[in-house]
This record gives sequence, C-alpha cells and structure tokens, in this order.
Amino acid sequence: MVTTSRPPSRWLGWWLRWSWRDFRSHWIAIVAIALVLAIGTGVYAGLGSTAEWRRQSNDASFAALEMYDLRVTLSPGTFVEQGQLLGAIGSIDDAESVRAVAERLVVDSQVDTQTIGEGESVLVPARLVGMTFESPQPVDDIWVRDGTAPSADPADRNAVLEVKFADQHGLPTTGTVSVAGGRAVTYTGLGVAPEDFFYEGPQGTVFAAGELAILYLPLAAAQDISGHDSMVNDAVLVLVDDADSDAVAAELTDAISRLGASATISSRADADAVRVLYEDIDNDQRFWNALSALVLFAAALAAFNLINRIVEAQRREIGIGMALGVPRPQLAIRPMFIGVQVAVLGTIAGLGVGFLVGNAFGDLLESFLPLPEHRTPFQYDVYFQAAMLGIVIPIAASAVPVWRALRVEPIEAIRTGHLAARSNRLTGWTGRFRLPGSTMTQMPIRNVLRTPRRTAFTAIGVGAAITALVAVLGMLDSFGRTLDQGNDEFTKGDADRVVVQLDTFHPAGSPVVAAISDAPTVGRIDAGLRLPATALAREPADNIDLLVEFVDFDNAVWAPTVVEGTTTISGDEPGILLARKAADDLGAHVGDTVTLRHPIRTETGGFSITDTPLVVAGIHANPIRTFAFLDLADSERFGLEGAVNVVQAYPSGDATRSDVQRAVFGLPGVTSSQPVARISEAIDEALDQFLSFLIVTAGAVMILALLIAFNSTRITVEERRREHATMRAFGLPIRTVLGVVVKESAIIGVLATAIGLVGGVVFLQWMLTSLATTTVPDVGIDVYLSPTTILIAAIVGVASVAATPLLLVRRLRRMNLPSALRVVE
Amino acid sequence: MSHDVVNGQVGSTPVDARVGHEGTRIDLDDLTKRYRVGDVDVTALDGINLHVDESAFVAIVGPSGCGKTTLLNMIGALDTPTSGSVRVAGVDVTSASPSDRSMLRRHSVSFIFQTFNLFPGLTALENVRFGADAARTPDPAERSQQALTQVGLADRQRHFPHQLSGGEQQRVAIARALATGNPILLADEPTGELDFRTGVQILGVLEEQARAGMTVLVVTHNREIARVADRVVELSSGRIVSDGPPAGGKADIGDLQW
Repeated sequence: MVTTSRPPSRWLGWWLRWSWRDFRSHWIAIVAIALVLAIGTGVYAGLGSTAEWRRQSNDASFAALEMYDLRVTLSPGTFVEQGQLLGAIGSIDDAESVRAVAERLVVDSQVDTQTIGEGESVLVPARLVGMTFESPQPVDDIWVRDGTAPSADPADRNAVLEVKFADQHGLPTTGTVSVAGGRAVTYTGLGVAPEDFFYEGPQGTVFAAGELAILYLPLAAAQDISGHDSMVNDAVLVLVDDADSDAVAAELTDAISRLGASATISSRADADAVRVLYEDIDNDQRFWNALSALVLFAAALAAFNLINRIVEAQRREIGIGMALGVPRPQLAIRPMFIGVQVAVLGTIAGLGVGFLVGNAFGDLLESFLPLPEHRTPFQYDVYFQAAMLGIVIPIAASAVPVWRALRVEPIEAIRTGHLAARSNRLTGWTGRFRLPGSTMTQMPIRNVLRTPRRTAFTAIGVGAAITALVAVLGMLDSFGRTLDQGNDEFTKGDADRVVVQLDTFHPAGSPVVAAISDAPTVGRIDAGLRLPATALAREPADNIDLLVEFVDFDNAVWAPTVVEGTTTISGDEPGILLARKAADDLGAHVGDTVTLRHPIRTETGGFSITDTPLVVAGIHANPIRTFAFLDLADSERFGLEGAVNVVQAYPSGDATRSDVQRAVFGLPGVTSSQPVARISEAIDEALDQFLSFLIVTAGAVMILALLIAFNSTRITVEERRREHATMRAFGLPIRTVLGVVVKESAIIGVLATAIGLVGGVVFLQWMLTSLATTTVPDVGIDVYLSPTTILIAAIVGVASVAATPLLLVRRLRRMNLPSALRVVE
Repeated sequence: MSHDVVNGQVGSTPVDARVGHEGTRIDLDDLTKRYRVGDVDVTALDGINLHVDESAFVAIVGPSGCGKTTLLNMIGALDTPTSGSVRVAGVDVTSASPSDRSMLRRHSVSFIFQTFNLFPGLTALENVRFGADAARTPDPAERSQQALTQVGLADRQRHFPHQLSGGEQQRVAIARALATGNPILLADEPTGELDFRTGVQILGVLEEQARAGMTVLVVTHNREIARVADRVVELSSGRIVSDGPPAGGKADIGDLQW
C-alpha cells in the first residue's frame, strides 16, 4: 500500500487560506471587535500616560528656567542695600558651591486692571517681583508665553504679567495696570517664574490663580514703584551639582544674621509649586488609573464575549474535523486565528487610538497648566501593559470555545441542533405562561431566556461599557452639581455682593470701615472677620486648613445656609459651622468637639497661636471644606472683639458690582475687592482641567459602548439566521421579523442598562469616597446622576442595542432564504 | 423528448377562499434557473414545464444536485427564476413583488424542511400556532390544537423541540404547516433525518393531507417514498425526464421498505 502525506507547510497554508476566508466573511465583526479593544487599550494608554507626562513636563520646565535651589527671604518689612545680600552670600565658606545668584525685591501691592480686559475690572492683591533680566538668565528665569520680556537695560520699566492670572481674567498680552499708589505699570508680555507655576492665594485658598496678580519687573522699576530705592529683600541661588544644600543654607543663615537681619532660607522642595505639582501627580494618577482600568475591563469583557460567540459557531465544523480524524491541534488553528486577527488589528488600532487620546489629553494638560516645556511622549510601557491584555483576551476568547468543542464526542458536535438551547428552568417556567398576543410576542423573551448564559454575557458585556459611561458622566454630574451648590451658596441673597478685604484688623466703627460704607454706589455693608485656622485631626497629616469667617447671623444679609444643626448651641457656647466634607474628614458630627488651631491677638497687639476646642454647632451647605463659620459675637474668644478685616459691600440702587469695586478700591486699608461670584468661578476654573479629561474620556467610552452594542446585536442577528429565514418562509413580512429581533435586542438592552446603571453608581460611589478625596480633597462631592445621564445610558444601552437590527434591514432583505433555511446549528 | 406532461387526476377539493379560485394550481412554463458560482454558470433548472391543477400527492425525485430543491424553492416563491414563468395559486411569482411573494407564502404555500426548522424557544404547541399566526387564521389557538392532535402529539404540546425526537419534531413541523390552512404543502426531504419507521409515519400524515384535499409536493431522493405518491416527477440535470404515476402503480405505505 502506498501512502502519501502532505508536508506540514502545505497543511499550514491550507488552514491559513481557510482562516483568510473566515476573515473575509466576518471582517466587519472582527474589525469592530478590534476597535472595541483598541478604544480600551488606547484610553488606558492615554490616561495612564498623564503621570509621566506631568513629571517630565515639570522636570523640564523647572530645569529650563533654572529654578533656584535655595532662596533667601528676609523677614517681612526687612530690606537691605542692593549688593549686600550678594556680598553676604559670597562671604560664606561654601561660596564655590554657588553657581549663580541674583538679588530681588519682592513686595506686596494691589493691582487694578481697569478696563483692559474683556470683562469687569479686576482689583486684587498683587506681588511685585523686581529682578534682573539677563540673557541668558543665570537663575530663576521667566518663561514668557506671549509677548516680550523687559530688556537687560536697567532703564526698561516694562513688566511681565503672570500668565495664569491674565488667562483667568481674559487680559490681553500687553497692557497697563495700576498698582498701589496709583502708579501705572505697562506689561509687554505674559509669563511666569518657576516658583509661581502654582501658588496659594492671599487668603490661603488653593483656587488662587485669579486672586493674585504677579508682576515681574526690572529691579530698578520695582524699587522705584514700591518706594524702596536701591533696596532688596530676596535672593535666589543655584548650586553646583554636588553641593550640600543644607550646609550652604546654614551658612547663609549665619551670613544674613551678620547683616543684622533675619531671613528664611527655603529650598526648591519647599516651594508650593514644586511640592504641589509633584504631589498631585500620584494622587491624580490613581484616580485616572481606576477609570481607565474600568474602560479597559469593559472593552476586554465585551471583546471576549463577542469573539467567543463567533468561534462558538464553528464548533460543529470542529466536530466534523474530529470525526474525520484530523489531529486536534490542527483543528484549533482556524478558530484560534480569529483571535489572532482581532489581536493584531486591535494592537495596531490601539496604537492609533492611543495617539489620538494621548494628543487630546496632552492638549488639555498644555492648556490648563501653562509651562514652558510640555512633554507628552507616547508611553510605550503603559501601552504595552494594555496591549498585552488586548492580545491575551482575543486568544483566550477563541481558546475557550475550541477547548469546549474538542472536549465533546464528535458525534455530539455533528448532531443537528447541538448548539440549540438545552432545557433550563427559565424556559421551562415560561413555557407554562404566555404573554397576551401571537407567538411573535412570545419569541423575544423566550429567545432571551433559552440561552441564559449567552444572554447574561452579552448583557454584561454591553453593561460593562455602560458602567464606564455612567461612571464618567456621573462624575461630571456630581462635580457639576457640587459646583452649582457652592455657587448657589456663595451668591444667594445678592449675587452682586462684593467682598472687600482689609489690610489688617480694624475696629468696626473705624474710619476705614466708615469710608467703605460711605463710598458712592455702596448701599449697605456687613462687616466681619476672616481668620486662617487649622482644624486638628487625629493624625497631623489629616489636619484641615480652614478659612473661618465670623458672620453676624442675626443681622447680616448673607449668612451660610445651615443644613444640619444650628448656628449656636446651648449655653451660649460658641459653635462652629463646618462643611460636611470637613466634618466627615475630621470624623465629627453635630455636637462633637473639634479643636481649632488659630492665631489669637495678645494684649500687646501681637498674635500668638493657640488651640481652642469648639463644638460643632451645625453643617453648612457649602461643599468646600475650607470654609467654616462662627458667630461674630464669638470673636472675643479670639481676642478680636469689635474688630473686622472683611466687609461685604452691597451695591445701592442701580449700581453694579463693578461700580462698588471701583468705589472702594484705593480706599485706605482696602487690599482687594472681588465680586463673590468670582470665588465660585475660580473654583470652576480650577476644576476645569479635571472635568475636561472626563469629557474626553466620556466621548471615547460612548463610542466604545455603541460599538459593543452594535456588534453584540449584529452577532445575535447572525446566530438567528435560520429562524429569521423560517419566519420569512412562512410569509412573515420583514418588518414583523425585524420587530421580533428589535424586541429581543431591547430586552437585552434593558438588562445591560440596568447592569450599567447599578455598576456605574457603585463605581462612582467608590471613586468619590476613596479616590477623589486625595485628588480633590477640599471639595465634598456627593454621588449624583442627572436625568440626562440616565437618558444617555438608556439611549446607549436600550435604544442603540434595540435599533441596531434596523441597520441590518438590507441584510435581512437580501438574505438568501434557501441557504439560510439549511443553516445547521 | 417533450417536457410537457399530462397532469395527474385527483378528486376535487374545496378551495380556501383566501387564495382565490386557483387555490392549488401550480404552473411552471419553460422555467430555467442558473447560478453563477465563481466563473462558472450552473444551470440548476433547464426549461421545466410542470402543471399541477388539482390536489394531489406529487413526489419529485432525482439524484443529488438534479434541481429538486431548487424547483421546490421556485414553487414556494423562495427564489425567482432566471427565465420562464412560475404561477402558483393564481399568483405570477416571476413578476410578483417581494411583498406579494410573502403574501403567497402566508396564504397559499406552507413548508416542511428536512431539518425541521422549529423555533427552539417555543413549545410544540406554540410552534404549531406560529403557523396559524403567520397565516392570520381565525381562532389560531383552536386551530393549532387541532393540528397538533391531528399529528398525534397533543400530549407533547408543552415540550420544547429539544425534548422531542426527530420524528416528533417533524410531526410538529407538519402540524405547523397544517395550522396555516394553506392548500399547498411543500416538503423538502421530510424523512431525510429520520429512521425508516418514523419516516413511514410522516409519509402517512402527508398522504392523509393529500387525501383531504391539499396539494402535497414532496422532494426526495428515496424512490421508495415516491411509490406512495399519485404522481412522480423525475428530474435529472435540471430537466424532467419522466412524469406520471409511480412505476408499478401506487403502493400502500405499509408496503414500503428502505
């Protein structure tokens, strides 16, 4: 007997050709599943890259501007002759460790932008930074984003305005502002020094970009404007690479004291900008990682289910192969190739989606944090992590049905109806009950119930995408409602209220306060106190910085809304009103005692720090935990009886808040006047970056959810081809057949939407209670889903899933009935 | 050899008013069907002339690939010819619109498939009722119950298809076709998946329907089955090679052996 056998290469080629035909017949489904995986991996790569981008951008930006290693700041009110600080620094033993040094004059002032901006005038505290402008700048350079910097000519009087302040208020690239004393300063550019990449506001608030105007001026100009001719009070140093900065700092302290002055020596790491910009990265990244993992999980689950179903349809052919004696490993080649096709396409498409998503996030980062250097290189390692899943999932999804097929006896696999539903309790139960109407009415629910595992996986696959969508949109809803609550609380009563900050404490009946009250366009004033304080937690790291405002609860036009408790407690003891977030973070309830660390005025008129226990009288409506309130009558416990440092000014008659701002700015004792609405606007703007990321993510997730819904339904329609052909053979019009399909899809859509809503709320709750507390620690955010979000979830989950069959009308109409009637399951 | 043949003679049968006066008539004139498979033209039917104008039990026989099923699909308006004409129950299938062809299948023609094609999510009774609902018959519940009883499966009405044997499934499929009340029954290899004994049972049911006045066309490759038909049309390579009573005369079902 002569036997012949094919070489392995020919067998492989044969299986590859067959696999290529599979691709051609399923290419829409394969490409769609690949896109699903691509979106999951791309969003994961994009969101997962932000930490490294921010780190690299921060590093590059600080390095590009030669940010100081050490800074010498003389005590408030202390100045020395220009050159003396340089001399003192040069006299230290470790002078050779100092690579570059520059003297500066940094003074507080006020700025009036007049009407150069798009909106109202801005009248806020300012900081004048007098410095040298050299090219190249040896230390602490200014990055000028727009316009030009002053020249090195000492006679140049132009300035650079801090860019974030200008952006917040819509100010142009060049203009003229007035500073305290009525001096005009022309700025020719918008820029920022590295230590001002981030700063806290004058009142210690973190949402500060619009509250402080920084002007970078030539040293001579700053000396002239501030009235400190030839004086300096600040110096910045860059050290050589191997310098011992602690040792240098110690020597500097001694050297300054020899000048008869005292100074604070701070390092780069002490700067708010450095601390916050780097600290925020890891906190924020944990948040984004959770979100991106959810999106990737949804994509992976859906892809697994969809590929599983495509390969499942080949089980009979696998059985035929087994019956013909084909070795099992060879039988696995063809179905596994479907997984490989998806994996390859998904990986390639994922790169593209990753670039797109990454570009979108990179642009957002650039727009919200103006830095001289932005680094957004594609993070191949992050992409690789997600891509691994994108490769493993399709192959595993193919392997499972292949394994199941190879397990059964060939005769079982070949038998007609092998894949048809088996008995289960659900169908058995429903067989006893009929919905009113024809058999076409029974079919959708029966079809859903007769394959409970497939139904469940399909619903979960679509539901997982809706979970991600609900979580992202819910985040936007929750933040949006929180911001609205804050805004409502700030602006209730009279939205034109202007908050006038005084330079120090003044008696309530002082001429300073009287001048404000008597100012034209001011109708009524409520004078109060604002004091920075710290609420002490069990662990010092959990202490909360507060801005305590003393309000005349009985008489003031504006008083905080109390949502729980009251403004006072029994026995006339002072009670503090806290934000819900602050109370929760401190573990305090109404009636509990919290300890406040705060300055208290001494008998000599100075201030000391003390701890005061206070009972939590109530919870106020403002979601921002920074704000706390006490009755003005309790100010005596703080040594401030009868004193005020903030005035709420209300416009009179037809006057506007701008009129009031202008009327009070420049009055003695007034450091700033801001509309109260500006506070919530500043908070909105501070959260804009975060919310913008969510919007981009929501867009990607929406596309993902629709793709999954479309693909799931398409495969379901394909699986029921023979049933649809039978209905057509019995003369049912296409619209009736479509009606059955649409209803079946709608049932799965309802299940998926329910899963998505529940899952989304659970995930959202977890995100807001665990992760958001580190990302946005100062804002108390409650879970909230708007009707729009629920509607979107329903549209994506129900309507799109139910409507997908309508996209397949042409396919149904052109179905080859004779062939479809012979399809064997 | 002419392809025109003489129709068989069967007793007259009441015609369902829904389909008009030509309720059971089938006319195929010079019917040709060609398919293009890659670069090759395949002629499945070549100039077929066939006329069935009264209720009868007609067997269409021939080897695999001779065009039997294609012929059935033409009569059932599942497919359209390349040339020639097909007229069923007064409807010109060739020029009919898709909705008219649907209407024909709803009210004139019912199918029985080799692979049963029952709906797995419906019980036996519900599968039968599907036929009644599709044809929009009055009293579909009662009609489907009757049809299921007629095929001897009233006690299995709550069972799902996978709980029935092959023969039972095919009987349900027949009941489904009967429940439509349509006068023409087209069966494509109805015993193909069944054992001998069950196959004989199915044939018995079909023969009974023919005696009751329906026109029953059965496609089969099994010449034994053709022996119980009133008329046997033999196809070969897409052409009718013979058309007439079974050779040796019509046999009893009990005499069949395969």
